[in-house]
Amino acid sequence: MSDKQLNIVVVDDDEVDVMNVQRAFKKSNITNPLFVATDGIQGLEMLRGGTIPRNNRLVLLDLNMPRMNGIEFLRELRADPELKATTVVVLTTSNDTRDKVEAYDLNVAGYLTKPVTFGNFVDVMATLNKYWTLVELP
Amino acid sequence: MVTNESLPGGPVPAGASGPAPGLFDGGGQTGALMRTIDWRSTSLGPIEHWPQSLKTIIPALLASRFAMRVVWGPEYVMLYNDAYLPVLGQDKHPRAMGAPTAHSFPELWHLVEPLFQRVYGGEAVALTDYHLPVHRNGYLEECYFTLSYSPLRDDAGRVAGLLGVISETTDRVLAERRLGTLRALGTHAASTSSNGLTEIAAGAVATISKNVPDVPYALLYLAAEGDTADDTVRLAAAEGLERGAAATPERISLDDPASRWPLGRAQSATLVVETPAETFGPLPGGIWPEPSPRAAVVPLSRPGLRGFLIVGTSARRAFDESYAGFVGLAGDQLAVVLAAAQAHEGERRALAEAHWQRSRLESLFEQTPAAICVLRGRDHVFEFANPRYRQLIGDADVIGKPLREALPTAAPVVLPLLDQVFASGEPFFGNELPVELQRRGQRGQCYFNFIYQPLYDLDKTIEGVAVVAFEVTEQVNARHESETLARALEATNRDLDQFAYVASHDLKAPLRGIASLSAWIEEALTDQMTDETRRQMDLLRGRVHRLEALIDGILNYSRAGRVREKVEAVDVGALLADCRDLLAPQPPAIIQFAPDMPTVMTERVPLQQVFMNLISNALKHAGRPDVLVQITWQEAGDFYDFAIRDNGPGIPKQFHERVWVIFQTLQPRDRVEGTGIGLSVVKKLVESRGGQVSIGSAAGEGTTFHIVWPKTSKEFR
Repeated sequence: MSDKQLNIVVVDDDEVDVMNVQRAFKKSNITNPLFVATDGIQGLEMLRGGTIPRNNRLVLLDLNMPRMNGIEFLRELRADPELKATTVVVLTTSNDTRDKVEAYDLNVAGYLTKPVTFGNFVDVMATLNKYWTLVELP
Repeated sequence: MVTNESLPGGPVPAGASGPAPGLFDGGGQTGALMRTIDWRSTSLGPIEHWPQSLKTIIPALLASRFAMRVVWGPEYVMLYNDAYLPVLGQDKHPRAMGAPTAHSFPELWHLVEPLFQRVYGGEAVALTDYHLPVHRNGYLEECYFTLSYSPLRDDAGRVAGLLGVISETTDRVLAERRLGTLRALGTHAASTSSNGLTEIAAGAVATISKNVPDVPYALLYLAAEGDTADDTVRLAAAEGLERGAAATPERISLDDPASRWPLGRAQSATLVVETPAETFGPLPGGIWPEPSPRAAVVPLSRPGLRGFLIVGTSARRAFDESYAGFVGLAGDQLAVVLAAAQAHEGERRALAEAHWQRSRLESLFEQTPAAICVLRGRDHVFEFANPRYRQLIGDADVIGKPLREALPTAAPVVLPLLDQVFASGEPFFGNELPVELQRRGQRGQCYFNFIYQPLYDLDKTIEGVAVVAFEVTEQVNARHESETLARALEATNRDLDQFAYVASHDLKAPLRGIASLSAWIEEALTDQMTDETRRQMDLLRGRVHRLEALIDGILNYSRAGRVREKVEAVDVGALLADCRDLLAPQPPAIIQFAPDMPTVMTERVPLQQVFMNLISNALKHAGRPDVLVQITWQEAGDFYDFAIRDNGPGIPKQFHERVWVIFQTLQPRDRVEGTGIGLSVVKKLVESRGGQVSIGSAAGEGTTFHIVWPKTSKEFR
């Protein structure tokens, strides 16, 4: 099971949202390692560095962030030969069609809008985790 | 006495009276006559008693080839020679031979006697072209003579008689007079050419009539001008006779056989008509006391002219060849004059017409709001420019100048076009052509819509170019301005879009934080919570949801008119079925629509948003569980008129305008959760697609929203 364990990287500048993810994981008894970056630049550094295991990575990416936003982060990622296969799911407040189109153009595996209430957030996270546990990742 | 029959040239019998041999020898007809006369019965007495001087002159008289007579004695007994015979005519010879002059010439005795008396007094009398009316051929005739009377003396040396040498000058006098008339007619034609036809006709006839001895009266009948086929002629001029008399009808039909003037018979040659008073009424005689006994009808025939000159002829002249010649020439001359006048009048009318046409065109050119000019030749020399054109080019003096000199700033743009039109003969239509013009000292960019039309001369070769131009500088500038404004507006809209996007995200993030944090606090404090604080927490979350809905609404509203999608065939029935599934009304609430809903060529999403908004509105505000929402439709020209009807409480009329305004709700928000954005989004969606929204409702009767949506939307670019 351990090699199937997802290494979840949250790239989000909103502390409450990060807490939301963490609490939702806790609520659903998800014990996966959770790595947090507060913007795109830090996210790339972490992915390129040695702290996160190379396999079974899943990035939960916010779009609106300071310094480097989600779309810019995705462009860098897809341009990086080491990282271009990384699975990314967008988790954002934006319901804008343009953002969706741009994100999917950059090969995201999913696009989720953040539910406002915590209950819904927990459901989304549980479903997400369950799904990605079933999926074979590189 | 002898009879006339025996007179001409017969052999002369030997005189019974025993005339002096040789006295009357020779002398032709008159000599023979003298020989037959018994002179003893005349006042001259027997020949043997004649004075020697008389006997001496008689052979000279008879031998002369000039018309001569000898008048002798107190009774003025007359002897004459052969050459004198024409003076006597048929009426007086041979009676006059040897008879007193007074007996032979009673008609002019009063004129002649005083002359004779003067000569008997010893005076020689000579007269030139002396008018002596002679009754010699059946009528009193107008005659002229040049005569010389010289006294003859008897053997005692007393004046006992006279020798008259006479030359008749009638023909010459008349010819001169008639020639004068014809000459005057010619002069008249030349001097009156500026008058109208009627005046010229009247003047010409008056000129002819000035020859009163030959022309006691004259009438002119003319066919209506330009209508030579008409068989009626009208009295155009009358001299010597009043109009309206028996002899002067106003119109004469050529076909009328009963007409007094048989003009129909005079169409090819002069016709002489006897004019008795019984038929023609009293006619003038001119200077003669005798009325004109006949008239000559002369046809006047020239191209474009048809008429008749009627000339009353003199009672004192036979209508002989020279008279007929005169009248005929007068007619010819008159015809020439009239034809010329008519041609001149036609010409004058054509000129006047042309002038009128030209001035009309000119005033059209002058007054038209279009700028018009005519450029002549290969160098495009300004020949004509109307005031608007001159104004347009800044009142520069361009006439007579080639375009390259007249408008140097515009030349680089327009010269190639003009050259092309001049060379090809193809007109050129310019649309908003930018032209640089120097006007009122200012150089500026102007825009023109214009036509360059080639002008052809009579040989169908291009001789110039007509320019008709409309300045559209203001319109073009206005459009450029509005295009700039539109671009600015577009930029503003993009900013607004960006703002709405950022705002929705930035507002939603803390909102979600509040929602999450409040949930966690509530969770952590579960034990300490009272019913009151729990209800406050619920209210807090409700406000969070409302704020979220408001943010979404603003985002939708900002997108409604701006975001465009692909136009496709949208089956409205299927679309409504989707809406029904999405809205999932709680039974017994029902959404109904006809099975034959149309298919529209449009953007799917905005139409769906419209229906979703209106149906959910109806469900939300009905205030009863058995809500019935019915969607129907009808044709409205290029549009479909969809009606969304509910059985709710209805909307009072005074709020019908208000419901479309953003953030307006008719219910307290805590009773029915609503943002007041939905209907404003509907209105914006519909109107930005060229449709219309309206509301039909009254309190207590339910509400009907009408959506008029185009059958075929334009593809948004």
